[in-house]
Amino acid sequence: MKINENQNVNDVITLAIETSCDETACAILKNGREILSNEVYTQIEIHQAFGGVVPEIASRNHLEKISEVMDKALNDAAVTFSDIDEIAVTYGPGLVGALLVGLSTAKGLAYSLDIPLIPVNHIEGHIAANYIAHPELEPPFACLVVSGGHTHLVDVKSYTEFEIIGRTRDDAAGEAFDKIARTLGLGYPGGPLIDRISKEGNPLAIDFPKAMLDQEHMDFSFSGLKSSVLNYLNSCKMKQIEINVPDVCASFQHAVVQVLKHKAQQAVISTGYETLVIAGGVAANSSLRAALGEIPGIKLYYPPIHLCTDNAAMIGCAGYYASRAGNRGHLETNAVPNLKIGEKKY
Amino acid sequence: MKILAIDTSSSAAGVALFKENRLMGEFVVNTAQTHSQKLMPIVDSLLNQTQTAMDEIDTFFVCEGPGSFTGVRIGIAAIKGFAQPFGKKVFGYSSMFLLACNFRYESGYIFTAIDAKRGDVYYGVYTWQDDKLIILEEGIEALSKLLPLVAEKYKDKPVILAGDVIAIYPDAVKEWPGRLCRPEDVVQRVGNLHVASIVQSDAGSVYEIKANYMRKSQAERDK
Repeated sequence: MKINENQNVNDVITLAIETSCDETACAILKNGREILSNEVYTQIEIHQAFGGVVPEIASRNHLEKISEVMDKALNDAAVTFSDIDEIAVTYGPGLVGALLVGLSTAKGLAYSLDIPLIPVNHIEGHIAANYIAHPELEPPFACLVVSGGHTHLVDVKSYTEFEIIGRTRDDAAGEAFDKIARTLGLGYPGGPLIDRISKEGNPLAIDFPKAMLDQEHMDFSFSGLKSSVLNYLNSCKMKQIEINVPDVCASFQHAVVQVLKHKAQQAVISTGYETLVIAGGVAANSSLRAALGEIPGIKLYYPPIHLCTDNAAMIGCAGYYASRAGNRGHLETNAVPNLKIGEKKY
Repeated sequence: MKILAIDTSSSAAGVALFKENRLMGEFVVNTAQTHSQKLMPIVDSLLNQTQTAMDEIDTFFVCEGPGSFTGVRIGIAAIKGFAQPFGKKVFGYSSMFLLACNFRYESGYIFTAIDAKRGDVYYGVYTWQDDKLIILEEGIEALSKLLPLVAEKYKDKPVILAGDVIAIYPDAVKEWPGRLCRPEDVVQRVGNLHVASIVQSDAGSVYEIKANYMRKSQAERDK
């Protein structure tokens, strides 16, 4: 192993690969929590023309870019393949064709370099992004995971043990954001667009339903809210009432955020933890951050924006801890597109 | 020089090891498992059986398609993982070329065609020259249009037609003026690859190798 001034013999250098959706990403980490490099090639512009991610196009672009993205990550970190101790890779959940590009590359690398392969759950990666951003953060804690395809409350018992304590019964919060944004003609992805436009609107202008606020369980439902917003927009159109887009965005976002806040508060009470963590793409939402910050008696953590969206550094961090717990992949490890939080299927 | 060749473009996963131009070993697994599950174990088994270390491999050959989009990507991605850390050479070959390698002693033209669905076929026309299989053309075309075109263009020598299209479109190929290869006599087996015929250049690397889908994605076609 090559030793340079930034490294010593006991350091663990992880190369991580993430290709579960429309970002081709590679990162190099030292000892799990220190980012040496974090390279993300985003395909957002390619998919914008189609109004959403096209799985086949995503897979094709991953294969074309992955070699260059890995080289860039190695260069930025000033390390070579011979310095790498283990390969972490997302094996689910995600688009199967997209996952398979990263996973197959990772398996090839681990085999030829003769080093461990560590399959990582993408959502557990999002949770681990917080470890990178906050060196003092340690499990256990309650975690609200909100992204394009996921809305979960998770009891994070240790670095490698997770229990889902609340889940969406229909749409993920992020899906509702995308759908509303598309209907309003704002574009894709919907979350950041609605968040931005909401700042100019009145969150109390329209009283959209806040589902299951009165119940004690920690499950979510967003399909009713989504339909209610779509109905509102339709009826405005029929009655030829001008739609105030900022007010619709702000009121919709307010409804989502109030539900998430209420359920997160329930999770903190039921687990007895004093730490609440937000993870996933929607963790970048400013209004959500502000609302959760109002929950009394807790310490709130969330990652910086660049670690909220899909990246490989978070996969490397989760992989580092999985590897310390002895979780390793093998020659037959396959992609698991519908992998659940806490599941180990490799 | 040792070469590791793989093919994951059809339902079978295949891997072959060549020393110079000689086949040292081959594994083919044609089960319902995915390539992601099949490929690495057969690579590992073959290297173990032939007592070959991964670092002895100088060059990788990989089937670039056309065929299963996902299968082709799994093969190329694995090869990228094998080759990239050591800057090793990587070259691609087509699935029709691999089929044509079955016909070592054909003096005329070899015309291979693989069903591409919706009435189209992936095809290639090849001929042996100085003990090398030369690619005359490769592409995708409607079978009904392709058959008379090829018959006319290559009428100076006999043309043998091979590939799954013979079994899938028996009526269309009935009128074929040349010989038809019996479907059971032609297999897409990576150990058949005529390695001396693969055109190698300095540029062959993980950065140049690309999947050859021969078809746009559904979303692009519908646009």
